[in-house]
Amino acid sequence: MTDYAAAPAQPIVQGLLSVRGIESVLISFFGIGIVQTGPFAPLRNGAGDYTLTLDPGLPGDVAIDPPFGRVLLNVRATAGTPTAVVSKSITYITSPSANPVLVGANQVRILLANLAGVGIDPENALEIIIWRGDAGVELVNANIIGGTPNVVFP
Amino acid sequence: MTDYAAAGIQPIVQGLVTVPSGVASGVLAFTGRGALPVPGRTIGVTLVPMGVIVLTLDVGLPGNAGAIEPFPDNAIPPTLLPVAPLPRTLITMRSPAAGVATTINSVSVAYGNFSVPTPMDGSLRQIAITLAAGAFLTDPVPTGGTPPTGGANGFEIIVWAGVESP
Repeated sequence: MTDYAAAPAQPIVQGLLSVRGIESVLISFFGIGIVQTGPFAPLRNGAGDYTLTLDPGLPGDVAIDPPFGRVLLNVRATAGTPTAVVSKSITYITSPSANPVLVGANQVRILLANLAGVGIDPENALEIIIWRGDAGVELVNANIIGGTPNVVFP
Repeated sequence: MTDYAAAGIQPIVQGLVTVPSGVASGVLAFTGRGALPVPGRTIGVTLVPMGVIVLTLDVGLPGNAGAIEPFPDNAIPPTLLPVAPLPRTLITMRSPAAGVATTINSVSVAYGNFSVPTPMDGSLRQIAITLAAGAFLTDPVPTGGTPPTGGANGFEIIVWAGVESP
């Protein structure tokens, strides 16, 4: 198959997050790319608030440079009943144990909320895909938008 | 190009769903590959409500198209959860018009056999997309009636199997 992607999507995380257990305080991740057991297993901080740790056992960027992070979040709910989740967002958390410039973000925090802005779990599950947005492309066409960088001449 | 994807994306569905008449509950059009809307928007004699779009996967495609695995395969010990662990879906609303924000803020999917018999292997052959503005179901049409108004001018949909690697 001809590959003409300017910036292909090569996910480092693909999985399904579901909330279950007594009083819905447990979450489980089925898929690939997220640590699933031990002290860095998926953590539910509260309703609709989850911290996930990228799996260091995978090839490629297991700690992602936040500007290049791309994520897709998709809610699974009951057919015919609107999901109450209308707000979905993510924060990339840089590793505090090493130089974040060198390591990048090895955790992500996902927040889901309803119309009132209150955290809420998905009705059924949450599909999660994370990839590096510029994988495989040379940055010759990159548009850098922002403040003027500090240029120091010798 | 180095391939380092932990789980690649190879879509089995890529398409655009619209309501050409622009009228809510109208006939759906699917432009793309890999799926088709349920004819007549009915399941049996029941009309599928506005805002609920049921697509049937195309069994003619290579790969695992047309049959979503219902449960985790080869799990030890065997498990029935989570249901449909593999499929991933991306849905993007198209604005009613340039510069006009969509009012559809509730988007979710469900996988099942809503209007077709379940195959012998138990696989799932359909995707139901539920769209709403707040709590009100709505079709992706620019003017969706009362309520809501605004809606959207169709939506883009991509479906793939999320975990193809071990």
